[in-house]
Amino acid sequence: MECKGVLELLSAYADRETTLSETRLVEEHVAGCAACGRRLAVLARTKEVFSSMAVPAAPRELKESLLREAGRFSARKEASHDGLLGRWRWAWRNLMLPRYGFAFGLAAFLIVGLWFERSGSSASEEPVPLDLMLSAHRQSAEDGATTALGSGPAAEDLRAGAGEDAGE
Amino acid sequence: MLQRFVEDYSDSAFQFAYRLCDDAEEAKELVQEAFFRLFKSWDRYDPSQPLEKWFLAILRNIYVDSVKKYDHRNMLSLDVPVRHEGGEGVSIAETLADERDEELLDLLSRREAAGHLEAAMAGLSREHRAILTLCDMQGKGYGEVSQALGLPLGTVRSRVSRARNALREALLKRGAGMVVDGV
Repeated sequence: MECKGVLELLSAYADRETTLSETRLVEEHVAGCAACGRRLAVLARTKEVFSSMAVPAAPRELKESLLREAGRFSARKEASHDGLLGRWRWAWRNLMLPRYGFAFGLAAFLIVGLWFERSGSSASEEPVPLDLMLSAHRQSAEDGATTALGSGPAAEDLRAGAGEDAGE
Repeated sequence: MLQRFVEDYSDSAFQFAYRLCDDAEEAKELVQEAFFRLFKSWDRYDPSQPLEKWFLAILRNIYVDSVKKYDHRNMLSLDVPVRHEGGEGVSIAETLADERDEELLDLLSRREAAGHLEAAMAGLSREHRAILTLCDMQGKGYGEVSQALGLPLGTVRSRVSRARNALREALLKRGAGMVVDGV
């Protein structure tokens, strides 16, 4: 492999972030290439110097202000998180609430959807024509008159009379 | 818990912020904002998760804020080709190994090597400084850098390489300057 291809891998190799096959490729190439070997040495030395550099400490006033604010927040949180009840509250807010919220939302969506579906289907029924309604009304009126005659002797006579009239 | 978090991580956060903006006051401001924002969301803290995860969130806040606030200073797109003196414009990644590495090794072996690195870092873009601070100074793996800067893993890998090439060029310039000065 040419130097150019390996150079792109050298940085990741120095960080131990290459795959197994890449590692093998780099090691084989560097074993026979002094220039890439030097480049790798520079990378390693740079890392060494960087890691030996002292971390600048955060200024005192910054740390104090952060600690003050942290104290204020923890006091407020501890007041609401203390004990079993607090832990339940935390679990409810962070674990249960999102799940229940989702389930509730889904249920509401389904109910509203069903309601729309039903009201939509009843509204689409065909209206009964007026003449059909009138004939049905007339029919029921006639049936009602027959029933109104009742079952006494007078009614028997009336029916017999009606039968004779029909026979004639 | 929060106090311990401040004690453990404020120095590293300040270091990162300081490397990004090269100004102690700006760095203080960035760190303060990042921590305060985290305190507000501390409610969502899951005790089973390592605190390091929250620290990466702090680093991310610092980085995003620094880019937003101080965008116009020292910004250089990593994909823009770098023009070498007297040469064609070539991508940093395409810079080949050469004899100058011997010179660099010599420079980095001196007692004042840390000072040279500091000075060379100061001349780099914010993106380069961010990635080198995390990788080389704080010893973060590519996975953590990817979380802190919000970049895909492959991009982190190529950017680390480009940042190192840019640092190399900056160091070589310093080295050449020292030869001229007779150091």
